[in-house]
Parts: sequence; structure tokens; C-alpha cells
Amino acid sequence: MNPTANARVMVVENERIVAFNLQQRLTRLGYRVTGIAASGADALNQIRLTSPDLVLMDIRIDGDIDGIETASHLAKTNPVPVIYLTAHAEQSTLDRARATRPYGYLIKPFSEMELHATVQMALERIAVDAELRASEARFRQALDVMMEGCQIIDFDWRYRYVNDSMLQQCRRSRDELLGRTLMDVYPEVETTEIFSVLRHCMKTRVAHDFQQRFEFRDGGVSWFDLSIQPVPEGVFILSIDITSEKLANERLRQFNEQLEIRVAERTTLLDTANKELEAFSYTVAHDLRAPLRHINGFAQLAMDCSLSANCKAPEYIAKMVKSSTKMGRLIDDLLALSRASRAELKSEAVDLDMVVVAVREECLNDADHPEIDWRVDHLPEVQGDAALLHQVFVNLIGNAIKFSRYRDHAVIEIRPQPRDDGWVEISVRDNGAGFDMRHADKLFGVFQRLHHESEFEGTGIGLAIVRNLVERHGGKIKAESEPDSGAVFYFTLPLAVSGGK
Amino acid sequence: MKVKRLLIVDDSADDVELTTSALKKFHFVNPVDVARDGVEALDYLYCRGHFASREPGNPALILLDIKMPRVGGLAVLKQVRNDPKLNMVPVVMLTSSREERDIVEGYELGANAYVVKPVDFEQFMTAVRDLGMFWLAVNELPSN
Repeated sequence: MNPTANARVMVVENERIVAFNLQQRLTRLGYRVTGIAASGADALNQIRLTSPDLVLMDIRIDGDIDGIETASHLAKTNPVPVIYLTAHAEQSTLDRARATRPYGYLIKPFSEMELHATVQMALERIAVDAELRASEARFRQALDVMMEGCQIIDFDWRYRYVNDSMLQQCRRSRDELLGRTLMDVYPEVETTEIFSVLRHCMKTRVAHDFQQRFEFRDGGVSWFDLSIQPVPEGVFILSIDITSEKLANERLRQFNEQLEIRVAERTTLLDTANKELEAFSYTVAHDLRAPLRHINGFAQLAMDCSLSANCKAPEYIAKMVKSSTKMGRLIDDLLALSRASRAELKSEAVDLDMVVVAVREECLNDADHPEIDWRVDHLPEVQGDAALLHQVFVNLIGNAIKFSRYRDHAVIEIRPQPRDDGWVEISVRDNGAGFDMRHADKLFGVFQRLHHESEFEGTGIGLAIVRNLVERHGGKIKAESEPDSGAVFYFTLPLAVSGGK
Repeated sequence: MKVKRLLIVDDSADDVELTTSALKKFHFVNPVDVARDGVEALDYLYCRGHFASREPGNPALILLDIKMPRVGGLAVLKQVRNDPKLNMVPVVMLTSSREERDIVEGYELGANAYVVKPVDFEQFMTAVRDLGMFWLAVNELPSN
């Protein structure tokens, strides 16, 4: 459709003759004249009532305000396109007029042709502008309702546009942002990475996509996918909240990490079990074969000498008995170790005082021992498995008694060392044979012995069991000693959850 | 000719007795010294501690057990092979360990032979006899 057809034009002209003449010419050219005003006030009033498509505005008119002032007033209240008509073409007037962004400027006198061309061109531009505005409104509407956050920040760092999603994302109101600068809203922003990215985009006009962690005033944290685009006003920022995705990823990562830790723990357990199994088979091969070999050997020797005069058969038979006893003990201890490493660990409050009393009686019943000077302090309640802790004390106290055998005045001390981290360190000290600290690394090894069978009998399994049990309670064990001046074993256990007696 | 001494390093008195019984049965007259673990073995070889006043000189053969209290046989072997004064002494590992890693480590450290103590005493005696025959009778050692 021809935008100029039936266009409605208003004339503001204080000279009636000129105004009338203009009306006639316009009518002839096919426009409808909606009215004629002689003053600015009259013009504004008529325009408000008739809403013309275009105003032909003389600059010098009746009343308090001239045509240019009338036009600028119009722009603020009821924007209608204006063409100035004037006989005055001096620069200062032109400058003032230009500031009101008119659609044309006709210098009097002008021909009908000139009038026609100017009006038509203006109407054409008005139509194009209207279309532009409509399309702008459409885009703006689209931005307004987008799920993604949208904002435009101008070259002065002011918020020019923000949509609802963006406000939701940054937990601010529109009034807090629009017209204010980024620095007003976020005082520390100039030190941030995102600010330098924005500045770079402002300068170089190059788009940039990245992810950003954002911490809110209340300490909450969100993650955003940000796309920064240069736009004529400054920069446009498109933001997508990816917090839930990030959290899910983080949970997945943590889960994987935990899984890896669990796999590593299991692998360690398996490795330990394998090592124990290896040591077990090693001993079956070594330690269990030895007594068998001795029995076999002494049996042969006993048979060989049975015909000779000085037959040592009874001595050999005694050795065979000893070897078979030793073999029985080895098998028992191996089974005890196997039980210790496989037994289900109960977690209950254990009264160590009662454990020690029971163990002392048990150990003294089946040991030939000198008088022992017991120095036992009150022990705390610990969290653990009563039966397994009983075994720990049986082995440690049993060792203390065994290695004090040759002492005239044997002293065994059992003392707790309180700690403030929920654990207790217990020491079992004797003044017996002790050992050389150079061999301490072997002390807790399976089937390792630091003494000769002829001095102190044993299978080399007891302390391996003790370490196994203490470690299964989460504790640690160590020993200190000097040959001939006794040994002390320190081990840690968790205090009872109930808080003790 | 100098007397060829034999050093048995073994923590089991029973094993030592069985070994010496076997030697006696086959009429070996070589003097036998006994160390009950690695510490005593090294004391013997360096003529110190308990063995400070022994007759000086290296044994013609060391029968060395592996698993012993305090210092084990492989550690003794390592020390012997690292000492120029000792490294020519023949060392036969005589042990109940059939473990591949013990055998490999024994040879790596320079053992002259590795013999697993047989459980059967007949076989044990045969092994001791053969070892004695070879290392104490057939084998020649440098004169110093």
C-alpha cells in the first residue's frame, strides 16, 4: 500500500494566508489536512486530539514557544514526525532544529513539487521507522520471555536492558540494575575475570563464550554458561543457569572418587590378604616341614642305634615328642592368625580393666613364672570387639611374662596415656629380655622371631596377630626395647563412643 | 694340609644334630662349628663377640640356613660376598625353603649351591654326604 495515500497532515503556521495556501496545495496533492494552528499551544492541543501522521511546522509562530520548542515538547509527550517550514536558514536555527530529529526542512518559498517530494519522503521514512519499531518490539518481546538470561550493557557500563530470566538468575530487581553501572551494582567487579572478558569484548568487538561461577550476597553459588556478543550499544550477555547440571556432575565426580577410594581400599585389603596367604604358604613350606623332618630324622637315628651298646633312643624319642608338640602349636597359632584376620569385628564398649584381669589369670594359670610385680593402672572403656581385644592382651601379656622368665624381680606395667582426640594409647612394659631395635622391623612380621627356640619358645605369630587386631580397630602399634632391659609395646584404641565410665 | 673346617649356620639345634649325625655316619672328621643365627655367623666369620678367641681362618664351607632369628641367611650371604676377605668361601644354602624368590635371591647374591633339606632322613643324609664329599674332599680352595 502506498504509505502516502490519504496521509493526514497538520499545518502549524501563524500567517493565515500562507496556511490557507498550504492547505490548498496539500489537498490538491491528495493529503488530508487535519487542522491549522497558529501557536505552539494550539498545535499541541490539536495534535493530541487528531493524531496526524505528519506536522508541517513553521519555526516562527504565535505564542510563547516557537516551532522548534513545540516540536521538542511534542517528541516527549506525543511523538509525531515533523517537517520544518521556514524562511530562516541560518546555522544556529538549523542546529536547534536538527536536535529535534525532523523528517525534513523546507525553505520558504518552496514550489509544490518541493513540498510534494519532501512530504512523500518523510511519510516513506515514517513508514520504514514504524516497521523498524515493530520489528524491534517483536525482538524485544522475544528477549523478554526467553528462558535464558539476556542483558545489554552499554559502553559506559550501564545496564541498558535486562530480561526477567536474567533478573531471576542474578536475584536482583529491574530497578536495582537499569540505568546503573556494573560497578554500582557490584563494587568489586573490576577485579573479576568476567569484567576483563567484558572489557575485551567492548574493545575488540569479538564474541566470547565461557562458564562462570557466581557467588551471591547470601553465600549461595550458581554456575552459568555465558555468551558475550558485541552489539551496537555495547555488549549483549546471554546467560544459562547450569548450576543443577554442574552439581550433578560434581556429585558424579565425587561418587567416582569415592568409588575409586573404595576400590583402592579393597585392593589394599586384597593385597594384605594375599601377602598373608603368601606368608602362610611360606610357613607351611618352611616352619611346618622342619618338625616333620626332625621327627623323621630322630626316628631313623633311634632305629639305627637300637643295636648298638650306647643307644640314645630315649633321647631321640623325647626330641620327636618335642617336635610333634611344636608342630601342633604351629598349627594352632596359624589357625589363630587366620581367625584373627577373618573374624567379624564387633563394635561395642569394652571394659579393658575386666579384660586385663581375665587375661592375667589365664596367662598365669598356664605359665611357669616367677613372682611378677604387676603395676596396672585403671584403663578406660574402648570401642571395639571384646573377644579380639582379649586376644591382643593375651599375646602381649603372655609375651611380657615369657620374656621376663629369667628375671628375679619381674615387673609388668600396663598404663593408659590419655589423648584428646578420642583415642587412648596403652603401654605394656616388661623388664625382660628385650630385643635389639635394629631388628624391630621384623618384630610384627608373620613367623619372624628375634629369639632362639632354646631361650624362648614361640612360633613367631603372636605379634603378627596383635598388629592385625590393633590395625583392624583402626589403631597403630609400635615397640621400644633394649636388649636385656625389657620391652614396651604402645598401641592405640578408640575410646568408647558412650564417653567412658 | 690345613684342616678343612665346616661352619653350620642354623637356628634349629635339631637340624644341627641331624646334620652332624649324618656327617659322623659317613666318617667325616672335619671340625664343625655352629652359629645359631646370622648375627652369630658374622661374629664367627669376623672372629668377634662370642667367637673372638677362635682359631683364625675361614671355613672351607658354610652351610647356611635362610630363615633365622635376628639376621637371616641371605643377609649373611650378601655380607660374605661383599667382603674381599670372605668372598671366596663356598656357601651352600641348606634350607627348608623351596620358595622360588629365595632360590633366585640366593644365586643372585652368589650362593655356590642351593639345597632344600629333604624331609626324609635317608635323603637328608645322602644330601649331606654328597655335599661333604664334594666341598670338603673334592673341591680345591686357594691356599690363602
